[in-house]
Amino acid sequence: MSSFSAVVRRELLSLFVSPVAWTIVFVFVLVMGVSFHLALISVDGDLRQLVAAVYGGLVSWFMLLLLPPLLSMRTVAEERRSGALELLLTTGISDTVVISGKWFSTWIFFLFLWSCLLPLWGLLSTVGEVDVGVLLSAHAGVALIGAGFCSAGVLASTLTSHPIAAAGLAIAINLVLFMVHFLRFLFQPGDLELRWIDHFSAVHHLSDEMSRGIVDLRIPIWWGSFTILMLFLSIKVLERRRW
Amino acid sequence: MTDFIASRRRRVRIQVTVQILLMLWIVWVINVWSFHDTVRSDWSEDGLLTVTAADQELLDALPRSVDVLVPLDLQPDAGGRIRARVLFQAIRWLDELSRSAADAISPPVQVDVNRQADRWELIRASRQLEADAVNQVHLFCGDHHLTLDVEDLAIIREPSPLEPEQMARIEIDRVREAVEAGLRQVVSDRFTEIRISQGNGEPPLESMREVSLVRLVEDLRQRGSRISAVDLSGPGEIDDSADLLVVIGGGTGGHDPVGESIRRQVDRFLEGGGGVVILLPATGTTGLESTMEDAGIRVLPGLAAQVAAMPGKTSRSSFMVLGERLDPTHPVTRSLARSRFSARFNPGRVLQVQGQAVGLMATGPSAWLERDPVTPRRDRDELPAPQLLAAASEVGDGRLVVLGNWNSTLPAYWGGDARRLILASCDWASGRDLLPAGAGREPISNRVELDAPVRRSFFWTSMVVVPACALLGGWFLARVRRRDR
Repeated sequence: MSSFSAVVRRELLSLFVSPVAWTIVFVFVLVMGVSFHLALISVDGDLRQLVAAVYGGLVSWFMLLLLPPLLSMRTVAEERRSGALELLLTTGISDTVVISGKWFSTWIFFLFLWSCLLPLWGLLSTVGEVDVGVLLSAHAGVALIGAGFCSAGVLASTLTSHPIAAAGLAIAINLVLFMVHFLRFLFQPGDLELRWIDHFSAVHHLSDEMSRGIVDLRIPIWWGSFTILMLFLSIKVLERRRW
Repeated sequence: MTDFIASRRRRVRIQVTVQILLMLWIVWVINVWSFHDTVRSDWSEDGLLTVTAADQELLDALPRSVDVLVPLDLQPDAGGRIRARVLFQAIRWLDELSRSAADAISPPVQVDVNRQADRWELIRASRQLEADAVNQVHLFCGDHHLTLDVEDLAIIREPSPLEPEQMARIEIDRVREAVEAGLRQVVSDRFTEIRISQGNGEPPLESMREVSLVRLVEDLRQRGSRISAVDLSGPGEIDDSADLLVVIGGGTGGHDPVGESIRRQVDRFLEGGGGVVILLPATGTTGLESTMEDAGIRVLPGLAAQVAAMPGKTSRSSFMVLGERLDPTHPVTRSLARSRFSARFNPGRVLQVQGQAVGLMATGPSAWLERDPVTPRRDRDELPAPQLLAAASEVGDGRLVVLGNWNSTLPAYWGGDARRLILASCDWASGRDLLPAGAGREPISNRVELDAPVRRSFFWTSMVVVPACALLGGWFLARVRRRDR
């Protein structure tokens, strides 16, 4: 446990003192702030619709697809390129701890980014009634999907020693998960295939369900199992050097 | 040595492959399990999408599967947007129900009639729907078909020439209740049998003429009723299978009052547990006055009149009266009384109640009982407001509703609160309430008034203050880092 917290602490420190990370924070809050403001006007002040518009909107999806790969691209790839990874692995820390620690710190930073929107909700709650339950479920949706996307980023980072290539690969994985939703137009309501598409569709989970206050047990189960699968594959890729 | 290392590598590769396959299998099994057996919860404040134990019980009790079709042709104006909101909420709720019991109710099929014209034509042909059967929720169960209008799903207020400043909004949301009632009705094998008497020389019920009951009949049929005409001025008889008799007092044909033998038939029908709704003529009698008096409802001579506001902020005395005050306790008006109500009667007969009878709807304070049937002008001795325009009474096992106006049933005037009152009266009198009394709720308003100070403060916070904080945080950390070095 202490080695896990040490890895997390080291990764978080390297993220929070990096100018690139703060540039990402700045761009994120600026773009989401503009999107938030425009959404507030377009829904004519209806806070219930605002949650769905902000968290299920295009800008939000752009951020969800792009940010986890950018945050996770350096986790393993950069260390492998600089040789720091070998040093880390010779300290006796297991591959599992290294991968889970790196993923966890990336995910924490990702959650920190989204929590930067809370002051805006706080401001709105002074003039209106924000439905806390819906806001909570929307954030839970972002956290779950973010966990999956971050783990895909870590896997991509273990597969290559070039951070940009890792980011590209992670974006491709995320895009596949995003595009699954559009297969639903091939089927009719009631088809079994459609129900399976809804089971895996990130868009359905966030835009149709969680940003409207509906929490289905399938969503944490799918994203939880997907995250564990990605981390497991990352560990196996890291272990490859021993074969 | 090399062979040993190679064989060990091979073994590890096989082990890793097996581990990965096992992991994939576990992920698949967990997801298949959750796919078939899941738990859903609604975290929203109003819980509009929460499937309660009562809802689950209803779904489990449905004997056959119900198909849902929602053809949409929505307008971009304020009223259209509100209607769209109501319909999408109904679609969302039906979808939620279908997730809870896929065998009982299929996921709603949504068709955009403009963008999917071919598909709409195919569905329309197979379901035998009219071209204008859009912006409605259609429920199908075997041969049964029931339609829920937006007005059944919610009470909406829209801007009118008299109240142009009023914003379009949902006053009472009763999507859940209307869907529940619709599901109960569509799977039922029993139709509400309604007989309509229009006077004499009347056109057939299906007539599309300007003076006809076509829209009333259409609405009642959509609500799961079987309707046929009965000629009470001739040799007509009220058959035993009828649940409800609607007497259009003015008649779309003639105005002859019914005879004594028919009156006795109506009395027997009422005492036997039937329902009667009488819509009064503007002048003259229906022949059923003694039936009404026995039930405690008396029709006064004269008409209700009131000072009516006209467009352009003028006003004048008129026989067009507005029924505004409702009895909040009676099953007919309980749910209607929860919103601002205004049923236009032009003209309206005035009623008086005693005994077991209950006044359902009365005029506002500016009305009076006008004795002169030609010129409305208030005289000192004329009865002041409020004037009763609708009343109900229970006679034996039967139910009687009297409404002081009949021409609200004509296609040109059919709509709004007068339509809601007539349909609620028919539902109650037939003993098969489509919507439970008191159904619906005021939607929780999460709206923020976007006045200039709110817009300004939100603009500065979202676009300047929060990004600046991020920038300052980064700069502060960079400085600390540089100092530590």
